Amino acid sequence: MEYVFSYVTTEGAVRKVNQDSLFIAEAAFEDDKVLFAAVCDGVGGLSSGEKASGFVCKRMNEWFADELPELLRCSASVLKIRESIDDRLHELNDSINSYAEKHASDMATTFTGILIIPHMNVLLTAHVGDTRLYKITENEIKILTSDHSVVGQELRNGTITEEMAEKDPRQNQLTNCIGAGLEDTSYDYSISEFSKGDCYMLCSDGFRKKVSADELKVALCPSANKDEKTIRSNLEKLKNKVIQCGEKDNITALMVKLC
Amino acid sequence: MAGNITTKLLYQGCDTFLQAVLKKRDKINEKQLQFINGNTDKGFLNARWEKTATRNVLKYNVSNMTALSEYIKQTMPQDKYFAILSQFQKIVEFCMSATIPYDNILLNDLKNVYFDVEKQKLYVAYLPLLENGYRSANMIKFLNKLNKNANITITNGTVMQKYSFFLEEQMNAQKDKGGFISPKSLHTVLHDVLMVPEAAEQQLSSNAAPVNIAAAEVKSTAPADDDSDHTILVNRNRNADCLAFLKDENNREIPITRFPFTIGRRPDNDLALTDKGTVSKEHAVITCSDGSFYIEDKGSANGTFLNNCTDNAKRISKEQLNSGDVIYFCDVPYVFTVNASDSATVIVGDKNGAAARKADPAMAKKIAYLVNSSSKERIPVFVYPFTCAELSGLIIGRENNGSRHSIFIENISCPSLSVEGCEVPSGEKTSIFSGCNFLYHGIVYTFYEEN
Repeated sequence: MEYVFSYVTTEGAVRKVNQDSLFIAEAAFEDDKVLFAAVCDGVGGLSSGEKASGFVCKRMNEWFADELPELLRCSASVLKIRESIDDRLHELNDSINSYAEKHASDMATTFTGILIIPHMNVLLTAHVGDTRLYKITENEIKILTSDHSVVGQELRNGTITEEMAEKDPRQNQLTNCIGAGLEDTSYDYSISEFSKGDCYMLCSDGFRKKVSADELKVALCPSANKDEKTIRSNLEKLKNKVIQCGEKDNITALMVKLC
Repeated sequence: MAGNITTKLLYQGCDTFLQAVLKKRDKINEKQLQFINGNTDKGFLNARWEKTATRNVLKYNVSNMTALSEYIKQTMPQDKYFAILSQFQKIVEFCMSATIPYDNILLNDLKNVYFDVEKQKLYVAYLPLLENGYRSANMIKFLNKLNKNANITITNGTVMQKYSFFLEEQMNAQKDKGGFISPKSLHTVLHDVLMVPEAAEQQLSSNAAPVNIAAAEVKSTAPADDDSDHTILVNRNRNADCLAFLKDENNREIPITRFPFTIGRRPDNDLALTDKGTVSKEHAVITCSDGSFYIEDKGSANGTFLNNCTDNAKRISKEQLNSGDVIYFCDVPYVFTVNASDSATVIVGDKNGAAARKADPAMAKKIAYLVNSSSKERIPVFVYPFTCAELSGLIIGRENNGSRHSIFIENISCPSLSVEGCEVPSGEKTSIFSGCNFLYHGIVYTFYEEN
């Protein structure tokens, strides 16, 4: 399996700091390549948000470099791999909380990551917060994660409709994330199927709020994204459009195409 | 051509069916079908024959019953085990005397035999076929499996040992006889050698009597007879008249016969959860006014919750109930269901009984589901811990492990279970999440959580 990927990230038109973080890492294992990519959207005053999101990205990247090879070498099952990620995320949760307590600040971050291990035929997603993972094929665009936000929760409960959700003023209220003093949390994991030609896009809430799913599909469908350059220019175009539409938040998106 | 018959469990409306899929060329014996449906009190499951364009199926109504494979997992006293065996012996004897082939009793798997906990009665699925081409009645294997899997509190070791010897002897002697044990020799072993009292006779006749009498009798004897398995008495006839009912984790239905309907630990409550320490003496009450149902907490110590039992769930004080809502009396879940016969949305099936009934409203509130990869059938999971007859021997539950919640799958007594390629030996559990595949008796199931 080969991967083509690119990303955009910007503090946006209004904010002075970019609290979003992202990483993409690729590694060769036996005759194939393993990929790990994630997007984090930091939350917190002053510079705490970017510290939290940057810290999580850094430590998860270390997990990919240090722990995963060992797990793959002893041919651990996907259950073991998930457990290892889960342990790491909870550990990060604890360290962010204790750091925040010491410095008397609020810190939190969302996390949405995908791990693709072709020889095990596994695409594992780990997710918390309102960053999203989209899967885009020629015919459809699908959201593979569920938003851990007040609006997302009410939408799932059926108390508000999709139109109401778009206009809801509580867009930025999260129900679950890493940090924020949460001690009793669980994160979402899932295994899904994948095949060559599929596109996966991870983004922060700033990227997706002002564009419709159809617009995303047209711009990001596999046939319109042949190489790194086209992916990058398509993401840039969307980003500019989002800013023109008046988005004030940080904007981050990352796309991977499997080929 | 001997082959195993495939069976699966179906949920239609508020009923559960065991469905046996037949080959297109199988011919039904109408007389036998009528005969077994006329003799359900002898221990035959009520059967319905359905012929569709693509296949023929037999549907056995097993609502409110527990698969024998499940039932024998709970510890039971030795005499109860033998009472079940002697009920089985009675059924085979009845087949002999009625000259219908005992070969047609579906015994290939313990999960195809059902036990009505309320009536303490065993039911078998009978295949009313003109020519039976299935490998269905290896009686000795069946008894062996039963003996191996049952969780018996042994009170008389000699008797148990003798019975085991008997099984072993039969196993060796009858290798080429298709595993048949004549009911007479079984009778001899049970009653003459092992001295099991012939209690079944009386029980059978009392069950044949009108249901309300039978229920009254069970009510009076049940507490003394069996306090280990926390039986809640359910009279199925009454369910048809009541406005709503509560379903417990084992799908047993508790009719809500009057309002206010009280729930609590004290035995004088309408639903008395006497063995649940987390439930208060007077925990909650279900009321009805202007056609709506309400659940009200009676100042319980640990709270009542609706559709959410996680740690940050909100206690409720008074809340309107909808059919399918899951009520948690602290951590004890019950599904509230408005009786289907009172609900206008239920479309009753046509004469052939084609599946035109609207799905059970309880299913709409499911929190997760399992997909059987070979039949593509979805099994809804609407309450944890979850068990079902199709997946007998395993439990899917939720646990709180320090700071994390997780869903796990636990192997209670299943000889072959693996999750994502890892063996899960009996007695152990492993945590699972959305998208996980597990292999159960050679069939792949996938677990999905609802978003």
